[in-house]
Amino acid sequence: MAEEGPSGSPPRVAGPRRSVERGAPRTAPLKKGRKASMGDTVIECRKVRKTYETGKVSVEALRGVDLRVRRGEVVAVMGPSGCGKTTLLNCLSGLDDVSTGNVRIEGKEIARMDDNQRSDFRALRMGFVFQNYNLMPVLTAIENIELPLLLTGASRAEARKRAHESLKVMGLEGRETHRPAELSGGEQQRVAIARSIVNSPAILWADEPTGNLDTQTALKVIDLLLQVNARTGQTVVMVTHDPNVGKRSHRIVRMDSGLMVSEEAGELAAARAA
Amino acid sequence: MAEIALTPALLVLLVVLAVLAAFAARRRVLFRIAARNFVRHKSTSALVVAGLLIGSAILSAAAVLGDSVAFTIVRGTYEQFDLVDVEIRDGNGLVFNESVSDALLGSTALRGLSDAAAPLLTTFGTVDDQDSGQAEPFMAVQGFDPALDRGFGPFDPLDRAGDLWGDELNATLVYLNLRAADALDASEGDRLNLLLLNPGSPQPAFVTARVAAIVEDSGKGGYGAAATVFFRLDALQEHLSLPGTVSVVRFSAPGDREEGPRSSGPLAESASSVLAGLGPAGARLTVREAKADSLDQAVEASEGIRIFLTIMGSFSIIAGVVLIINLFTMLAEERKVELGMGRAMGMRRSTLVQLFVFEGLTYAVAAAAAGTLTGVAIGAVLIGVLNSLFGTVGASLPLVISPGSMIDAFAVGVLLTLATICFAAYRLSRFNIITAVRDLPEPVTERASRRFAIAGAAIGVLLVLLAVASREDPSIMSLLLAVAAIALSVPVSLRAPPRFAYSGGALVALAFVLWNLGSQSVAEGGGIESFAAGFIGAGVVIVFAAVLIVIANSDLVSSGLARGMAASRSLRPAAKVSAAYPLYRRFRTGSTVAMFGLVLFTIVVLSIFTGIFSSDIDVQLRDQSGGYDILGTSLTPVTLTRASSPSMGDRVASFVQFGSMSAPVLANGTPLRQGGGSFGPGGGGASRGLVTVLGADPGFTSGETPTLSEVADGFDAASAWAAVEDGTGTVVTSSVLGGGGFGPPGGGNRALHLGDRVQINGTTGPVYVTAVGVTQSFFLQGIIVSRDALLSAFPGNPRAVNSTFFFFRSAVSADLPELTHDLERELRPIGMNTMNLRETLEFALSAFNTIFLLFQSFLALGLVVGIAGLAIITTRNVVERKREIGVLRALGFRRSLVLKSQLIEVLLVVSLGVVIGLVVGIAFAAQLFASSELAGVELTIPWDRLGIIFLITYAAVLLASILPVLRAARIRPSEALRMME
Repeated sequence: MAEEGPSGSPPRVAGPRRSVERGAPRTAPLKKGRKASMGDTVIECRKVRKTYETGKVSVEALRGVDLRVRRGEVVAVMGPSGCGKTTLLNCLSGLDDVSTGNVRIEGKEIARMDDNQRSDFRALRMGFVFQNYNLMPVLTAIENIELPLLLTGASRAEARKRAHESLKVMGLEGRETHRPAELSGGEQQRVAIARSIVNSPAILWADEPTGNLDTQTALKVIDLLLQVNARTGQTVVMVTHDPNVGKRSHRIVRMDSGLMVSEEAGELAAARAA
Repeated sequence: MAEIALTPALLVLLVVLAVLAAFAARRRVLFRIAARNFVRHKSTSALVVAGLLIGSAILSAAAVLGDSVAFTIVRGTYEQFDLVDVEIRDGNGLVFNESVSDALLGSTALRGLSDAAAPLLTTFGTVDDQDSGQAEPFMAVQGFDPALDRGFGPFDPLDRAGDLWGDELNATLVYLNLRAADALDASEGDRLNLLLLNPGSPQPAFVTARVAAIVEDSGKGGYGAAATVFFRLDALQEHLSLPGTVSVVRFSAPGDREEGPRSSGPLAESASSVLAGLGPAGARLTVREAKADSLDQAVEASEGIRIFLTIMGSFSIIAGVVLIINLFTMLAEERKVELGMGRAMGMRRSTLVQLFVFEGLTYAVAAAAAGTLTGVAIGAVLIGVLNSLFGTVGASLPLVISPGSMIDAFAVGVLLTLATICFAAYRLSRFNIITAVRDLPEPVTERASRRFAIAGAAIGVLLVLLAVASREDPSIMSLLLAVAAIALSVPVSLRAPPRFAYSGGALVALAFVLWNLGSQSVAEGGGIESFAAGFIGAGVVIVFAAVLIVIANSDLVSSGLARGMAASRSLRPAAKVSAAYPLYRRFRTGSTVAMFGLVLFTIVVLSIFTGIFSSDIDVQLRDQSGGYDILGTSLTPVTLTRASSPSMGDRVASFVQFGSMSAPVLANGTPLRQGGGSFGPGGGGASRGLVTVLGADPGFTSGETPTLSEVADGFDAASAWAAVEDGTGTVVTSSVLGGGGFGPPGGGNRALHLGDRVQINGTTGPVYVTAVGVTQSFFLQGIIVSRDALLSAFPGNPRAVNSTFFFFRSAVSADLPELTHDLERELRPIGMNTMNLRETLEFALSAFNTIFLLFQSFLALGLVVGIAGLAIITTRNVVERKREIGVLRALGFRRSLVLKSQLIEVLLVVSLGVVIGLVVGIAFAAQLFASSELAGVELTIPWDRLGIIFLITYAAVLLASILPVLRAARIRPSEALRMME
């Protein structure tokens, strides 16, 4: 795969009025060859609880989770099925509200943002990769990748150009006009990754990114994510139940029954220390 | 009409329901599931019922209007004829010798077949009530024999006990019926001056009389359904100097007034036999089962209206069929996984079909019931509007709701929906089990594509063969070829890029249909049904062809739309998604677009046709009468001068006079007939073999003249009228062109063509003129020649030398209604009857516009189908795309952007339908206007009216879609995404 990362500075936000506070730190893409270094805390949650009320039944999915993630860190959240991994991801990314507790992303308290502010924040500062790829089936590969760029006010030409570049980086040249149904699972996930990073977000959230892939493809996808992290210093938080995937991180956080039960260093931490 | 007849539709429905009931009894679980689905999804069910009810509503409204018209005609027939079942008259409307009447009355055979028989002498006249001061320029006059007439019952006196038989009448004592008394404001004992049209003389007869009694308009007093003065027969004969003459012999068949028509057949036959034995005297008389004919006309009128409205509403019914297919396709997709699991576990296809059919039955019954009731309401509104329009001239329609008709409408509605559901269910049951269980798109196998192509080829070839067999009828041939082109594009698509194959086929189809419209006439062949059927066939084909072009090029349309909306940076991401979705689901979008396209196409075409008639009264007056604004007819032939009446001195700017003779007129050796009216239908109506020949004074033809809709080769309007003036030419009115049917006069079946030599059989021999022009003036009947030409045919005849037909032009300062009234009053001695043309045209235009607006509103009901369909699809889309909406929100779409994206998608689909309806409608109308019959008529597109209709459409669509769209915007991303993790 090409070594070149996405070129250009993060898009200047224009068009719709954005409610994101000015001066918010952005992740600048690193020059080629420069390794990312971990910096300040970019994600912080304290005593986060999440309870789902469905009629008479009340389910406590998170029971007081504390977590801090530094900029540029790759964190794997692992645990058995139903332990609250995805719920934690949703709460940290602002896709869902917490019942109690505090979540700060880049110093901003998510709970204080209204829906529009959260949407804008996600558009500018976050990227998502899902187990089921979640590409728009009616759009082609390149159109899927363009979408976040258009959302942040890029012109059609600019969006098309950058999307092409992302596709090239992902090794998907020639697949631009293919719809998701015409792509393999691995190719779809690569398009999803391209879509998630095309706006150079500060944080990449990946929920079981290899869950629907075969072993070989899964490894390739993880390699991609790690390359992105290495090149651009984007923070990656990934939920996984696959230990082979989880170990390839800076830190592994284990959950059980809605609680954080342990943390351990991953291979990347060891490699850094070395 | 209260009877409930077992119509074919009702019979079939009962059989079908019995069969379904038998299946339901065996598969109670299935039926319960189906019924539960209907109840569980209330809002969806309501939308579905709303969309499907239109078909039944149209049928029901058509039935209500048809039944109401039939009832009115039937009631009017009984009032007009009462006990009279058979009438014997002269074929040319002339009087005949009483000896013929005596022979008929004396016939033993006829006496055995009738309850009563008596002659009448009839004429018309101007009546002046000396005591009330009121006058009527045109009133019916009857002379009856009190003794012979007894069989027809008594007169029913107003405000007096007992019966009147006419015994007290004498030479100067008369009865007035209530209509006449109201018109004259007359009372018993009033003195009347009458100027009677004399059938045997050009000069009218002046008579004075006194009102002996006023009688009800029912029974004998209502015979003729007109304001009438009743004389003794012998008295009237004496006044008119026509001793021993009568106009009509009436017979009553056995039974009361309702039973009579059933037995008038043998009576009429026997009368004809008697007449045949009377030699020439009897040969010129015609026998008519007057009441039975009129009742038949009532049935025909009722059926005609019902068929016309149903055919015009067919587009909406077709849209409803498309909605059903769309709907059940979506339902099947919604339940694909569970149905796939069911099949995997052993459920048969037939069970699936039954499940769909049971569910469809609930929708069909609910929709048909709701639709039938809605149709009654629509019918009531239609009648209300018509009554408010025509109530000013004393006409009114009662609201008649026939249970039999309602049940029939219900039955047809259920059957139509069920048939479509059965077809859709059969199609949908044939899914791949694996792809259904895995909720994957149905694979398009090569085998399926080949089968489809073979079917397309077979259908295409068959249609081409049928087209060749129908080459005598270009309209049908072109339609068959058009559909064949579309069918053949399927096999072509296997070899050529589908885009080109389908677009090519559709374009060829469009060309066939539009070419036929331009070169022939859809109105050709006459008959409302024929015209409407041609209109429907052509309309459906070209709308579907246009939709096919759009869908075949959906990627280009999508990118074009996205590009168009990309001008707005904030909408760019929404535009990307909105433009892609509709054209990804081609069948769903195509069928929705077709629904809107079909209905809007009919509305556009109808709107354009209403533009034929300019709403500018001055323009209309110029076209119709050359700008003259008062029409006058007199009983006495006169030559008017400015001294003829005070009003003619300074209040009349100018006037022209026409001699008027009824004569045999031939073209190409064939006698011409004069229709009943020159508005709209050309020909039709009763004709007595004579044509009115109007001899125009030079002032008319060299001044402003009515517009000519057609001129002969080598002529223009000025030279055509000049030819009339110099005695060589004639301008023909549309009522003489023949052909019949609704629409342009004559169509292709004209009795006369421009350039033909016309022969007027006068008293001194034939006079020849050339047909140089056609006028569609409402106010002129017959043919127009010069005064000199008329005189050369009828030298010395007072009606040719003098005039009985006048056009007046009011002075600018004159009050037109007052002048119209004053002229009539001042010229009463000559029996002048005047008509305010401006007022008449205003009423006619208003009526025309109101009726067309009613039709348009009726057609616009079909939009309900489209709107309901779109609301259902939008609701379904939100459910299907919940995860994708969650993804968009995760990517950063704000709620408002999701809302805009959904709304843009909805508006895109509607806009495609609007554009197709508009473009195809205009093309259709333009080609029709280019056809020979409408050549010269300017095509005007009423943008203001269409704009209002489109705005209402968009507003209604937005209103119907707002709830599901809001729901989409409120989807919580975590919830939407969790459902897939």
